[in-house]
Amino acid sequence: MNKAFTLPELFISLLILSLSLVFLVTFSNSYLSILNDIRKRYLGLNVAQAGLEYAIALRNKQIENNQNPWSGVFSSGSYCLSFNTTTKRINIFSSTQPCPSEIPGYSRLLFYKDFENPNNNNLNNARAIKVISESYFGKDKIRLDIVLTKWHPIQR
Amino acid sequence: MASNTKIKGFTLIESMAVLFLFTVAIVLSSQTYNNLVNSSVLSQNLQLAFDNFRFGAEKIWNEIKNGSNFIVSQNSIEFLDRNCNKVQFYLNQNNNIIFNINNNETPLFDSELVKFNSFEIFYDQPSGNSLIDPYFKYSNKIFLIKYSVILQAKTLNIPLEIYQVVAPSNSAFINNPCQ
Repeated sequence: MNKAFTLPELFISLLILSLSLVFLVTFSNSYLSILNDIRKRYLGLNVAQAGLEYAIALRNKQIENNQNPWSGVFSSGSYCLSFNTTTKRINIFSSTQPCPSEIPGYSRLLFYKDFENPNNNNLNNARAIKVISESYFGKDKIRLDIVLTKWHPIQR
Repeated sequence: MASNTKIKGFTLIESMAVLFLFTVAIVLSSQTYNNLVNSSVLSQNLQLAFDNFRFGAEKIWNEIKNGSNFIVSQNSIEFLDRNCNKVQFYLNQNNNIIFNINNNETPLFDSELVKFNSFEIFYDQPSGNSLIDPYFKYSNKIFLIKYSVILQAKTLNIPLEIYQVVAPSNSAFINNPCQ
């Protein structure tokens, strides 16, 4: 008597076939998904870098004016920095929540603290400040930091 | 002597059913394979376009970071680079950014991969004096560059709008280190 395929055998073979098809479809979609993630993270990186650039510019402006380099950030904490294209000035204000950035869907928050003495909350006399810039997008965030001295490297 | 052993073959219906299932499987597999190849080519092209944009934008960022003597208009920026060469970036009529160094012009981006809709530069105004205007300065402290581009991947065009911020290194005290 010739034995035909049993139901479990057929079921298993169909399952394997379906799984391989699903795997191929998922694999093809993951290419574009990865690329989209790269794009999102690149934008997030730019938003975080922009925060550091604002902090550098603000420090340079104050040094040039012979004023305290830590303009508007006299105590350690979190701040929002942005550039107003109408007034052509950098805005800074204290905030505990991230503020919208130049790119919709991306927000940013900067943290200032004394680099030499992290427990010192009064930044007036700090010689160097650590600035941390964080950008937030969806569930992800990117964090960059820099140490700013109270003098400019090319100061004469 | 006649044999009473009956050799049983496939019936027509069985053969048809097998052929049908086989055809369906082949069609599904080839469609999936086609999609896989297409998305691979598409993502490779997009990656190329994205990298091309990224490298060009980083070139602009680096040059401005180390530049001095800035002369800025809305979609053009001219300055001296770290070696005191005269450098200019501007948007031309072919929707590409031109990198001009000592009057030698080079397109910065591959026109087949990146097409510019706009290239805008925002900057702080070096005016006023130290007593009444806290923005008194000798040189620009900040540049905000807005890129609005289309990444071209043959079958798919993806718009990208991105802002880049640069605080030039030579922006305190001296505006002309090349003198």
